[in-house]
Amino acid sequence: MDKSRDNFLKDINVESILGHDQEAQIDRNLPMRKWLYSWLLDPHIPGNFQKDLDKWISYLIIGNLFSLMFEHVPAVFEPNKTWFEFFDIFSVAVFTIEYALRFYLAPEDEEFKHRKHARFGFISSPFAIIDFLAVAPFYLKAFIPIDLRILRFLRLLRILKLFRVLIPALAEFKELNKDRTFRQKVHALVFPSNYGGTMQHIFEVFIGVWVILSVMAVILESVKSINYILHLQFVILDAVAVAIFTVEYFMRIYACVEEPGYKGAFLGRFRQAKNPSTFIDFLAILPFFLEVFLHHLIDLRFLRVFRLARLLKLTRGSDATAVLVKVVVREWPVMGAATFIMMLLLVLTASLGYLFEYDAQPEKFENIPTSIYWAVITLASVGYGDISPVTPMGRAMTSVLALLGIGIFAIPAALLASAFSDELVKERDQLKANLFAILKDGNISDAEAEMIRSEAKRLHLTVEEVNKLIEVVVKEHELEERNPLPIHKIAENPALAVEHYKVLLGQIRQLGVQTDEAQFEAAAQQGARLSSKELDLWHKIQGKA
Amino acid sequence: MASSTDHTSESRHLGPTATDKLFMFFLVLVVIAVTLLGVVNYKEALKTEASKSNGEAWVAWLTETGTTRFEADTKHPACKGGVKPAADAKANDAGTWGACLAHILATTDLKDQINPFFDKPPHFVAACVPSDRTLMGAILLEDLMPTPPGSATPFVASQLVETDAIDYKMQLRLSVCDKGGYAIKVAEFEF
Repeated sequence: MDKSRDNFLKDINVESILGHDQEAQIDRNLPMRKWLYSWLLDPHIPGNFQKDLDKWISYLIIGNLFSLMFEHVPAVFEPNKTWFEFFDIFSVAVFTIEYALRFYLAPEDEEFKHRKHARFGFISSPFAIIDFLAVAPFYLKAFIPIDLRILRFLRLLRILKLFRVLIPALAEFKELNKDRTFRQKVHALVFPSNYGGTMQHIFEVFIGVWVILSVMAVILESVKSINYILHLQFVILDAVAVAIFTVEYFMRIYACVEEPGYKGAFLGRFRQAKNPSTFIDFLAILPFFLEVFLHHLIDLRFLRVFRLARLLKLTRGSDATAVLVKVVVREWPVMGAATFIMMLLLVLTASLGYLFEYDAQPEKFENIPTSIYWAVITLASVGYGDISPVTPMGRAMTSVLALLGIGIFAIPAALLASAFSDELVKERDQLKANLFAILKDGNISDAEAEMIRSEAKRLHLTVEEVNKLIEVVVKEHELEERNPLPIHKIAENPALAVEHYKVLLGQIRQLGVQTDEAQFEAAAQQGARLSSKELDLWHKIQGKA
Repeated sequence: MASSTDHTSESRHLGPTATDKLFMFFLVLVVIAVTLLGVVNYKEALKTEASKSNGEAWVAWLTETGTTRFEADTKHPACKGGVKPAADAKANDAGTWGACLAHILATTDLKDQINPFFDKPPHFVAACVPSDRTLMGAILLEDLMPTPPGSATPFVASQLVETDAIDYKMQLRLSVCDKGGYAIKVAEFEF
């Protein structure tokens, strides 16, 4: 690899392309306050702890919300009172440290540093007032007796601290969607696009959290002792979750016409409604409405289990799921054939089992449908043992079928695994081809970096893997330069052929300039090395004819 | 990545259009509808909670009485333990659950209980049956009879009926029927 190539590779910062965490470049010799601000609170320094701090504070706020909710359930609160108190003290300690830190570092903050009294500017800012209200009741109750309900209400104000994350995201969303219509803004919020920014990410996380909460509620509802205590809370949680999912569902249906391929007020929306992921959204809210409207007619308790379908909402945007679906669809004919053979073997096994065992065990091998259960359990190598053959013929047949079953049932799994692996290889090759095109000019534009970033994320590639791919691509470029295209490849493309001809003419002219004219003529005529026509052509190219 | 970049130039009206306003109105309606349905669900759940409270009150009374009913000067003689009723005892004969129940419903606060599903006093049933909607909020009181060692189940549950003798230390289970007619176990206790 030559020196220029080394520089070329060195210039590519894969970590920054992939958006991976990079270490913040903060001068150690900065004054203490500035240094601390740069590490902890400066939103403009990539790689510092500002985002992590915001993230963990957000988690703590959400934890406080749950703690507050469970404090209203005596069966949960009373036995764990001490833990609740510890958590409250811990939260207040963290929030107080955060407040004190922001107060101390206010003179370094862009928002307050130009004011006469930066710290006063900080304490009178809306965010600081919210931060203060989040901790003040805790200290206040030490001096003034406050009603517990008021205290809990004041603690609820801690949720307002989330605005510290929400408001900048909202501002970014507004900026990104300036000069865009209302529907386009709704689209940017619910569908991944270049206009969504952090707000779209927050929206997805919000929906994800509610999916997990509602699924956990469905699972815990089945535990009678928990449901006995938290029944009311589960009812409220379900209603809130359905309200959120219903609004989300209609927002998707409304804004989907902004998606490529879903144009058309009615047809586009109908196509979106038929889309598997949107259908899952519909299934997630349907049980609630059916149960409310039809509970007096029929027992719809079984529908509650269908609320678990909400878990499938998490697969939206999951590239791995998309690849799996693609693979299953592609391999469907082969899978169908394997399934057909499986069914054939199953019916045959069940029929033979019935034939050989009915006389010996009429209560177990009662008919062929009953025998099918035994056949499935045997062929799938599960073998519960509740039904087993007792006749010599039955046992012999079972031995053969159990061995066959291992192979037959493994076929679809093997097919899927192999197709999945093929698909991944194909997609990586596609990325390699894209990288080849991108690196041709030795420069990676923002759009190209975005493409690499999204593809690397989709294919779950690490920095090292992308680095290796880039190295391979660079080597291929080198090889391409060292071994020019064969003449028949050049001849296939007339434009390329003309360019090649010009290069050859240039080389001949260069030869004419650099060689000694008299000696060249003598050598050409000696032993008739060049024919007279060839020599004339030489003169013409050199412009001497 | 899906993007709506191509459509930005389609519309020049950047404020909410009539369709947008209609959509927002529809969304508000949806939220109101779901909230109302949620409130309906919540009220129904409150009825189940009230039924559970009824059951808990019975459990509390029976458990407390159970600790003293074998004493000579028990406060509730109708529920006194150790009084063996005759083999062909009637519902209100001494030493039967019927006599104790009549005493409870005549002299204690439990007589004022209301089944929130029907605004009537809760009644005792043999079993909660999902297909029978009249059993919502009813109380199921079962006597848990221990089975001989080695049995598949540790006890057999049978409804405590009015002619049953209560002369011995009993292991009881109290459940209430919920909105769907399923039993919610409140507690197992000694009486």
